[in-house]
Amino acid sequence: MIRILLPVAGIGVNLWVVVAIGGVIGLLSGLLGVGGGFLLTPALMMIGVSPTVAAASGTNAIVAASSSGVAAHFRLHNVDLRLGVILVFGSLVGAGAGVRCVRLLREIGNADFVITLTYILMLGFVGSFIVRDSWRKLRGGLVAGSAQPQVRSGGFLARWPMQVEFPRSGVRHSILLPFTLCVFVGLLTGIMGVAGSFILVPLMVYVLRVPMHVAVGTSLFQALFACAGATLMQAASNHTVDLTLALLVAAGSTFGAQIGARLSRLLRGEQLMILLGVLALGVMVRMVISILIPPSIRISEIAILEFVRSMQHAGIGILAHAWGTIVG
Amino acid sequence: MGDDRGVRHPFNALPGWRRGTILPIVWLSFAAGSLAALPGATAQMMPPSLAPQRIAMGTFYDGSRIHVTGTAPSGSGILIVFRGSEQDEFFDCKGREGFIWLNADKIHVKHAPSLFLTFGSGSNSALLDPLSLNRYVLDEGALAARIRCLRHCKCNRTGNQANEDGARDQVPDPAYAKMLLTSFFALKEHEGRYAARAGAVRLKPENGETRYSLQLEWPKSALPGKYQVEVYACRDHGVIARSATVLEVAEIGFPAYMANLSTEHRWIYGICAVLAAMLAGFGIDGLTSRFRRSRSESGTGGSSSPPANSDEATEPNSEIARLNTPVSRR
Repeated sequence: MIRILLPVAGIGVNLWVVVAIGGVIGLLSGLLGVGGGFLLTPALMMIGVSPTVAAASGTNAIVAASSSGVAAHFRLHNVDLRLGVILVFGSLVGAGAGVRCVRLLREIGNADFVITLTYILMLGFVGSFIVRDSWRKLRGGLVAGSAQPQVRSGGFLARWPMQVEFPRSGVRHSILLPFTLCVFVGLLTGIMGVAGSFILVPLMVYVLRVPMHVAVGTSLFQALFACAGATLMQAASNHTVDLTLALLVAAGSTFGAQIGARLSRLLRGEQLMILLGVLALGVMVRMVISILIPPSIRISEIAILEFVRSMQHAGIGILAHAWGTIVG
Repeated sequence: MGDDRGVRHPFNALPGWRRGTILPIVWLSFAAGSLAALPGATAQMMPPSLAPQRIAMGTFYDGSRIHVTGTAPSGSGILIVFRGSEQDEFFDCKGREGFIWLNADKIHVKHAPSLFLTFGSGSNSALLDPLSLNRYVLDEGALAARIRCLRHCKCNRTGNQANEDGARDQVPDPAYAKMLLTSFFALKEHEGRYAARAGAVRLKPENGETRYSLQLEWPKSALPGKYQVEVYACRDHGVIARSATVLEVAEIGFPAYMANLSTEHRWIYGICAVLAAMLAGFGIDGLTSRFRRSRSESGTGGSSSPPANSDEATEPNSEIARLNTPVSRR
């Protein structure tokens, strides 16, 4: 057993436990393409890291994992840069807008109640939809319902202004649509504090009609920039980023991702989609349990709000920098 | 006003060096007499000796065992307290809305020590009466009276400093405040930062005095900083003597450098953190890519048949694409 001191967290931890936590997160990432932040922060808190340091350092670790994923997906032409840039700006502004909306709703009252239930229902709907859809495709074979999503330009969404072609995804949409989706996801994450990839990726697939592999690659691209901005702001405003912790988690997650990727060879796409849906349903069940069972300790250190707030600051910072570059 | 130039006060007749010696003695005697006359006043005793005096937290820090020893007046019981500096802390508080539990309040806790460990030769209540416990803040009850909780907090937290808006901060009603304090102590005990151990201090008569000793594992959750170590000699449910010393817990070497960088050069540290993470991600991806390519070229890729797609054969994360590719594309 090797114990190592985390300089910013100020506590000693078992090195192999941290690497193993990263490994489990990487396994899920490699297998299903999810970030794993929903598991990482609680896992780090369980080994004694304070919530603020766990959330900030977890974000930094996701920068490493998503960098690796983006590099691989970019070579495979799975990253839609045009859509990714819109998502980056949309998520940053969306997180900020989400926080402000939540604040406004709280003034009105019962916002937490409504948004929490909405989030749970969303997770339940998305999870069960994915499971049902993938199960149907799995049972129906390779022909029915499994065609590559085509460019859908009819209907209400086609009348939105600022229509743009996204050649890599093979779709045409108003840039306001992905932007709006990001604001929507930001609103939900504003309260719950999870990254929202469970919602964003299915929304990209089912609403934007982006192919699944491009959705995952582009989502990772968006996560890379969002988490890099959040890491920078957390380090500057709260100095809660523990680089040693983040790199240990990243080392584990890289190996875990390799194992996850190899495991994925054994499964078909639909089977993996079912696993993703089951995972989303699992998160939903965990949330339902957490809100129904009276907590043994009713107070907890504030960590989530600061993460979202730093996202908001990062968004403003990046926009200000971009504006300065254009004007200058 | 009479002219007293001709009258010489006997004190002024003394030489200067003797006046300088006598004055402090007189003042000290007066102060000691006053303290002794006060009800419940305590005498000072020799500060405890700590081994080690300073805990150095290096890269491979694996906790530390501390040995506290000292002497106290004969026949006294001993209470030893490790106390961290007081700080402001901020919490979410869950409340019930309808049938579900949600974060319903923001709590600002003031005057809470970062660490509070008490070790006694007996239980706190056996050693001291409530008056003494409250006076020196030696148990949870006394701490609860000192700690202040505010609800509906709108503070912005920057490190440990609070820039208070304060406009909506409210003093909670007694029942709510009691619940907050109960939760606060439960959380701190769960973190290992607050604890009370009865019977942990060993006593031994020695040369007409009582020799005390305590061995403890320093909590791994205790953060670097300076901690007050207070020793109370107790008799007849009161404090008869007390002493204190300081235990320093400090990071050294690489952890100290990193911690300093993260606080003194925050932007540089943040940029380094992002770049290091990206470098790790891209670097490891590049290494695995090269490794798999070399395995593929040497024919030890573990597959008996060549892959249909040459692109997939050379890409390390082609499985990721595969898993996300619709069935029709395979």
